[in-house]
Amino acid sequence: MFKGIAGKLQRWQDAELLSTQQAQDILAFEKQRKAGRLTRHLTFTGFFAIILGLISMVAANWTIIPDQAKLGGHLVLNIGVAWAMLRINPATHPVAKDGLLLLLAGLFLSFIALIGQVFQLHGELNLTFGFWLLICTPFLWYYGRTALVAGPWLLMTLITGFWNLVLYFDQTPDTFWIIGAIIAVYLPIILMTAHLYPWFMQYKSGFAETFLKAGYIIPAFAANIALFLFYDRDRLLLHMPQLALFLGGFILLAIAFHKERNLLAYLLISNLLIILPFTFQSAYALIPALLFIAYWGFLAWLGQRIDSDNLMNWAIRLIILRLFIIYLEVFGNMLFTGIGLVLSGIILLLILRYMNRLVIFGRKLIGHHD
Amino acid sequence: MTDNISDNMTHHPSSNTAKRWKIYGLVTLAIPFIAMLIMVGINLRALENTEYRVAITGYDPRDLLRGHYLIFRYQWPENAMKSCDPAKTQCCACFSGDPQNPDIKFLQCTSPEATSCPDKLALNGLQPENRHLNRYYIPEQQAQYIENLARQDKADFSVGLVLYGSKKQPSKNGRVKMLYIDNKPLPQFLKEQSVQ
Repeated sequence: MFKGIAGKLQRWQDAELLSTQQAQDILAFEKQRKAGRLTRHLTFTGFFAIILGLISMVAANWTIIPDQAKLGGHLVLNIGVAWAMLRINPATHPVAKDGLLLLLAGLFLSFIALIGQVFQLHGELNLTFGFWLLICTPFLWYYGRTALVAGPWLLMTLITGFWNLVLYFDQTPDTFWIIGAIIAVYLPIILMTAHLYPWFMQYKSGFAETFLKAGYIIPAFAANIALFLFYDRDRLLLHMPQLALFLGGFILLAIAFHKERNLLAYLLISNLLIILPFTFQSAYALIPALLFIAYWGFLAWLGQRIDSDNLMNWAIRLIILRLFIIYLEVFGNMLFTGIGLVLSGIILLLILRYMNRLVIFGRKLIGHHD
Repeated sequence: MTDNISDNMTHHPSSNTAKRWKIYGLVTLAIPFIAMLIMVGINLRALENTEYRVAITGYDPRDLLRGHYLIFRYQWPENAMKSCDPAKTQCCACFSGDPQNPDIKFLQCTSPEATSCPDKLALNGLQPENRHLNRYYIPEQQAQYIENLARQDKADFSVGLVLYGSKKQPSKNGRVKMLYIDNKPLPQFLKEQSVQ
């Protein structure tokens, strides 16, 4: 039981799968590979305990530590992490380097928070994040290379950008929605065409891949938000200049992706849904629901065409859940009764229990044969 | 194969370009450090200005979403509102005299008297226009103790208010430098009360 790999090797020898020499070589190789592992793990544990202890001591005595010591200590920590990051060779340890880059960016955010705490600044959070991104983006872009940096950077940039937009147009939310829709049309084009630049692909391949994936996801995300917005009947409708901007986006799509029919179809249909809430108002609550099912049905069909089981399965699952939500919307009043709640709960449990079978049924419906 | 710009350049024998790219990289890394130092410098300079002591009162529950801030109202001297009624027009609080017990007068912000006042703060009603001047960060461990102290009215609370900016501005910027309890700075008060 406790023989480990030696026991396995013995069994393989007994089954004549390995010769004695091979078994000895494997054993020697594994012993060398694992040499010093215990020492390394214990060393890591020791360092971790020291760091944890230091953090605890700082936290416990936070109020009596002079402000100069807090600021100075944080500055030294940032310099230390920056130095460690510079020492790492990105060719041999790209993930470690990018990990330290992310840590450094996080430490600058905490430094800004510390300055705010020490000097009682109480800044607006959206502006703080904007400032933080402004000062960190140059070094993240210069030194970063993998999706480990690109993903969080893109996510924070989009969130901070839209957050500031929402607050800026606080008094005119309709303006925000239109600007957001325009961004949702053009941004995927910019992200997806970035990887066409050889320089970008050569030096920032991780960024290029991340931007490409984000370019695929954003249209579907924006289309679904637009479908929720479709419920709102008191909404600003487009004027000609804005309509022209959207049409310009469509033309750009057609030019950029005319060779990739599946992708072009996905982008055009998603963008049509994005501008839908701004072209007319829905009189019936069921129309957005039916559009949602039709859109995800289209994505399931697309998944089948591009051999993406993931896309197909998730699209079908979302359709099933949306049908359940329609049931709740139609029979919503029943939820106020005991019987209604029991029935809804049973249906939901049955859906979850037989989700896989429903997905297989859905795949057959769209013509996919396993 | 490397894909970092400067790493790629170092494979060429004459690598002035590689050195230049390395310097660019260090410059991008220096930007946030410089920004932090500037922020600290600006704030340290602002806090060198005169600190006026003003009584505070009327505590609200802490704003938990923004951390642990003590929310308060300024308790202006009774005779402050002789020259300007904040219910009718926007007033500016003009500070002068002994910083420990300043002479505070409400003046119409556009009046010549207000223009010539060296340390003034724009108000919105009876409180500073800058709503951030109505809050003070309290570390979590002491927050409950201080809040209880305030609710039970067992101590005198005041803040040290620092005004900074150009005299030509209609109103200076303000910063709450310190919270005082029974005329003692917060850290000293907590130390004496053995509250950690």
